[in-house]
Amino acid sequence: MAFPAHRCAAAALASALAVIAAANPASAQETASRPRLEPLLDLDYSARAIAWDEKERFSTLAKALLSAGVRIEWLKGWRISALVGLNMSDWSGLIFRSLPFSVEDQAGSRAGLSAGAGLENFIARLGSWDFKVEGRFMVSLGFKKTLPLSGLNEAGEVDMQGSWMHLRAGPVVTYRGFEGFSPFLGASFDRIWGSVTMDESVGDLQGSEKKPVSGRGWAALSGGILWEPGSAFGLGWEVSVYPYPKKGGSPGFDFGMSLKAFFPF
Amino acid sequence: MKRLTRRNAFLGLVVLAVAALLAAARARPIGVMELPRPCPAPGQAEPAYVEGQILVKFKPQTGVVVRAAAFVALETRLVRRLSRLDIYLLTVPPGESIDGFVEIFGRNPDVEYAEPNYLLRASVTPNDTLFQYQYALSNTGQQIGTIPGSPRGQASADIKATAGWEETKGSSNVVIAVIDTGIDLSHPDLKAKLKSPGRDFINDDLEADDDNGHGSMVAGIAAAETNNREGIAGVAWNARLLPVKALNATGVGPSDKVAEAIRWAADNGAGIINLSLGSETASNTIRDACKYAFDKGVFIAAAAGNGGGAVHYPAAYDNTVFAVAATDYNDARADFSNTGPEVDAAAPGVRILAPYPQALTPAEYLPYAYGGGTSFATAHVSGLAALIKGLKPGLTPAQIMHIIRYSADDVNAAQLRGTDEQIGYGRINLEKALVPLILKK
Repeated sequence: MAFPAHRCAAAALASALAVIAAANPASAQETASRPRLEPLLDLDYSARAIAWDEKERFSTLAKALLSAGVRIEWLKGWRISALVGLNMSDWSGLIFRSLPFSVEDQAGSRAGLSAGAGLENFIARLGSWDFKVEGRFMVSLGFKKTLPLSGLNEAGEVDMQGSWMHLRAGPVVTYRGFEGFSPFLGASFDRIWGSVTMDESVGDLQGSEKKPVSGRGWAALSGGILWEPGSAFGLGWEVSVYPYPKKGGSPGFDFGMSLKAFFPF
Repeated sequence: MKRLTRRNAFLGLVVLAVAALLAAARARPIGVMELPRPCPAPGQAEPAYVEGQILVKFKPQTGVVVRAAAFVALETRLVRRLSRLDIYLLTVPPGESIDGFVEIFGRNPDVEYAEPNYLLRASVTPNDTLFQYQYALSNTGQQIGTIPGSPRGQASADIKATAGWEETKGSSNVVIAVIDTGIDLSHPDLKAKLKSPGRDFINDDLEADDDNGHGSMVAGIAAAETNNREGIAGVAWNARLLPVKALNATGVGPSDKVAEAIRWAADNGAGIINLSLGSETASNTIRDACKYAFDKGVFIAAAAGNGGGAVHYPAAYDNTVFAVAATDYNDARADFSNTGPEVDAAAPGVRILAPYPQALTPAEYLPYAYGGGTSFATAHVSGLAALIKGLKPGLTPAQIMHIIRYSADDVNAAQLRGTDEQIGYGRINLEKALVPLILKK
């Protein structure tokens, strides 16, 4: 019996939180004297290998998100963030074979709304090294898009709507030994899953197919730089590599990138 | 008594009409043998390997000097080395036998193996030796037949079978019941495709053998064994055939037998029923049988008829039966094809090559024949319906009908744009019916 992806994700998140909770907050050297509020701007892009049709077929989900939100230093060593934004998701390559006329989506990106939340916990500082764990969960709800089906004897069209969820959680280590900028590295449990629904109508024919999809990988390795020239502004740049097993067992790699601006006050 | 007499008279009329239809069909070139032996034998039609080249793999411990010495001694020339596989591609001296060099290299104790540089072909182009004459499946403008004067068709005037096969070659779960004169149960291109020996309603037994030829031809067009280096290719490679004999040796059958055959096929696993038969007269018995099968989820294709008149029954039962007209190798409507608003679509039905019963084939011929008529057009549609059903088992017969209609090519649009009484929605197109439509920006 297959263990549902969302349960795996939930279990992983719970584990991450347990690790966070087990850490001794007293050892945190950065403490909040008062709640700090940081508006955030986040630009994120990734192209992820996804599997569908009983994990027999594969394509790529490319997504770009522009999100705005806030991050609050909440308890000692804890920070929570909330984000909302718009995204463009490109599901090209998905094939809907349960419709009366099979359809391959090559229609490019479609817009959607996204929202999410993050949680960070500072664990310890050893010399110039900061250790923390962070988790983030994003949801995207795509807008419905109608496109014509051409080449048939009767007029036809399809309505498409896709949604995805992305969960990421894991430790991050940051080097604070440089003036103004801090390189960091992280390893995360990383899971993306979702579904796309296509409704087809051609003459007297109607059909609908909901296609669940899931990412082919379960992990992410990330690295980047935080640039904090002053106390009022910071910029983070991060590159992520998502390893996944290709059919036949050889390794495949996806990539992602994000640019983050934050304005602490 | 009076009612019984009237019923008998009606049955008699139906029998006569069916007989007339089949006689008309037989007057056309059904059963004409044009393929004298020898026909291209398997592998002879196209070369099996690259002329003048062999592939040699040495045992791993064999040194470079020993390998080079072997090449020089036999006057072969190195073309290239497949480095990751450690295999050498060599050319042999012009005029020398490939088999001889393979044998000589094979005797060398340092050689693991040697073999010709075999040619592989895309699997969607079947290797059936007579496929080149099946313009209906793939029309390149080739000559259709081996005798001088055989016509050439117009390139692309075909049902786009090779493109459709890239998406699916059908499913063995789908059974096409051929309600006809039976099927040659031992025909080399048909025997492996049979679900069972079927049911013979004419002789009331469980062996629906063919004593006429019509049923074997129809069955072969729909689902002959394909890619078996022999004979023809069927439209539905993997579908199975269920022979049901309801027409006698002269190609005639009464309504009660045909109706019984339809019900039996529907109750015995048929997903598709091919009715390459018809009558000018409507029969409530057959109409009810068709409705019974349709309600059980069976797709029924029937021939529009060959007289050039109105669409015959049961093809004219619009709600439950898919009526098929015939086109030719130029995508023109066949002049014999019946017309009417009931015509759903058309398929090639002129000069169609198909299996023919061995027992009825003269010794100097292969058991294949060219035939014409809406019967054979219908078999192409049954094959397509089987491919669709295999790919999407959940579809209803009505949905399959719509898919075939909407995906057809309106090949007479220049004269009659849109749906018309001659070829309905148009000539069927496997590619559009099966291959995913690309949704663009």
